[in-house]
Amino acid sequence: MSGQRPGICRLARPVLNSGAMFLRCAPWLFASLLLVAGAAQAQTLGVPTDIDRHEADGNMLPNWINLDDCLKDEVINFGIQVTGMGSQSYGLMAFVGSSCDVPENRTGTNPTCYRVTESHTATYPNTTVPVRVRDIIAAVKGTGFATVDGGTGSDPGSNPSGEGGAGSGTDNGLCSGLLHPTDFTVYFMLVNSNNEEPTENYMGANWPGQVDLTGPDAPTVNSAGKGENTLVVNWTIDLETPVGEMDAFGIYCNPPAGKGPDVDGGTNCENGVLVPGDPPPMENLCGEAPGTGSSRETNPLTNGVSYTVAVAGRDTFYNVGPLSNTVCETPEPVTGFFEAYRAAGGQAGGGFCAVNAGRSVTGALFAAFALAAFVVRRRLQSKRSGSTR
Amino acid sequence: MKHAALAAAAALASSLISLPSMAQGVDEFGAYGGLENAGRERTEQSVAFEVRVGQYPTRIDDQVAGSPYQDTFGKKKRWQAGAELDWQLVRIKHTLSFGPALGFAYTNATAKAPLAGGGGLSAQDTRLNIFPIHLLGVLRFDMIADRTLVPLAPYAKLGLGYALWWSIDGEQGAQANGVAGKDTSYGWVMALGLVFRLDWLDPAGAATADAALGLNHSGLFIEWLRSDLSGFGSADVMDVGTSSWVAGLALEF
Repeated sequence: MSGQRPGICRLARPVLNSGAMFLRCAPWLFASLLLVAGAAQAQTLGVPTDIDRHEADGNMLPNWINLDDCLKDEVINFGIQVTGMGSQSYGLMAFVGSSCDVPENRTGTNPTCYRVTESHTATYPNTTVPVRVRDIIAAVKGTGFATVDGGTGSDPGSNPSGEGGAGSGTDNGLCSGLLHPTDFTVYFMLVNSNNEEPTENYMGANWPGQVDLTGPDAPTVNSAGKGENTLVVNWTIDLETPVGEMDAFGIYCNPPAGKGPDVDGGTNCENGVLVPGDPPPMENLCGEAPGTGSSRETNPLTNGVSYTVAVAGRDTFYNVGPLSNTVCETPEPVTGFFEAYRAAGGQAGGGFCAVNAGRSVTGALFAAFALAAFVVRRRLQSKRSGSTR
Repeated sequence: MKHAALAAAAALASSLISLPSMAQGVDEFGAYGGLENAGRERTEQSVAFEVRVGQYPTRIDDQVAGSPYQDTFGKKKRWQAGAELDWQLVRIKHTLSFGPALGFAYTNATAKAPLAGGGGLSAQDTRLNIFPIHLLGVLRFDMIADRTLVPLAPYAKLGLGYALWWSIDGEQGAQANGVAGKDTSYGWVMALGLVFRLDWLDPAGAATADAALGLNHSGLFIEWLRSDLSGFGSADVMDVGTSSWVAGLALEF
């Protein structure tokens, strides 16, 4: 509406230059003043697309929620941009669900939209609205807050968990399921005590995201072959998770890489650490492969030590799946081509930049060849130019 | 009388296998004056480009005691692929051209490394990568292809070769007693080859390609390549040269 003001002003300027015309156009001017006043009171909410969600490693995460977020009971702080001076009778709230713009969907016995925050006073220019990840997940699952706190889920309008009310330490089974990425939208709205939005000059804000709480199924390890200070692990996947949702595979060794059997007690493949179907112990991670991989060498291991090896997948939401079956193998020294060449008396090697007299000669020969070609070219050119004169 | 008959026969033969002499050329409408059929008189030509493929049996085992290359990688033939750019610096029309050429190729060999203690092969790959580069003088004889109906153009190449090679064990660069398994090799390179000009199959199309793209000739070639990259007999240079047949596509612009 504010976009109409310049046009109206242009109309009004010549009108004001003439008294008669002013009287004739008075109704138009009055209407335009009303429009301008209305625009000044318009309220809009905005939400940045890149919410600052810093993990411990400092990486900014995209708009998704994973198992780790749920287990940690993470809270996302949305910095809602508020324009226009709002009426104090409206509070800023966040909802997750479908068709949240219909008040009936936010209340009643068959809700499709769930409130995920307490009401906040919208303050210009920014209002921070904290939203618990668990509340979003409960809303995505269609049970609302109540699931989090063991309630019935039948009262979406209330907020039994409340901000800061989380942290009971148990997720009551909430942090499970959702094997594949599921879309959701957080709707930020101004809502009054009757659960109604403003009817005029108002625009809410949306934050689209995805949630995935379950890592990929366990792969099957086919073999762990001997290598020098390493094991070459091969696996196959029989996943419900589409390949496009795979991010990486982790290889897990017991004893962990860099530790001898005496440290971990895992020698001779006695294994109580890597249990198929269990979550992998991260301290035993001894290699990673991309999500499209099916074979990889482990990080450096110790020749002569027997290792138990298993693999677990990780999806693009950084959910780690359960461990595969385990295999046992022992790294051994091998004879690579270069070792065989040196053993046979070959003396080459040492790097591309190894300098000796012979290489200097080669460089000189190449330079001489190039110089000769250049000289011949110049002579031919001078001959041609001489003959044309 | 006998001499006159021989002269007549020679003239007849000459007229059969040589180009007709008429006003010829290439304008904005394409080739004309017989060029659209013969495809011989061309726009200015100064560059040749080759795409090359061939086997690459190395000469490494010839240089050392035993046969480390064959013991590791077996007798399986390895292939090379590469390209070469010739600058036809000196050109005598319809006769020959001479100039420098710069080319490169790439080949590798991979196998499972044997266990040092015996007992067969490990699960770990060992690999040798070779990246040869050559700087050559190239002499191309165009006389036969340009002056007769036989679409063959022989050539000879001679020059210097240089190669980068590096070995990888598993996912790491190879080492032996602290010496990195990568180095350079150098030596000489020679080749003899024959180009079969494809212009002969579609002279009109070839002439049009020349007029439109400046593509003077295209042809398939086969070449015997011999490279000795032993550092001219140096003991500390691995001879990653080869002696093999190479074939490919040649384009002259």
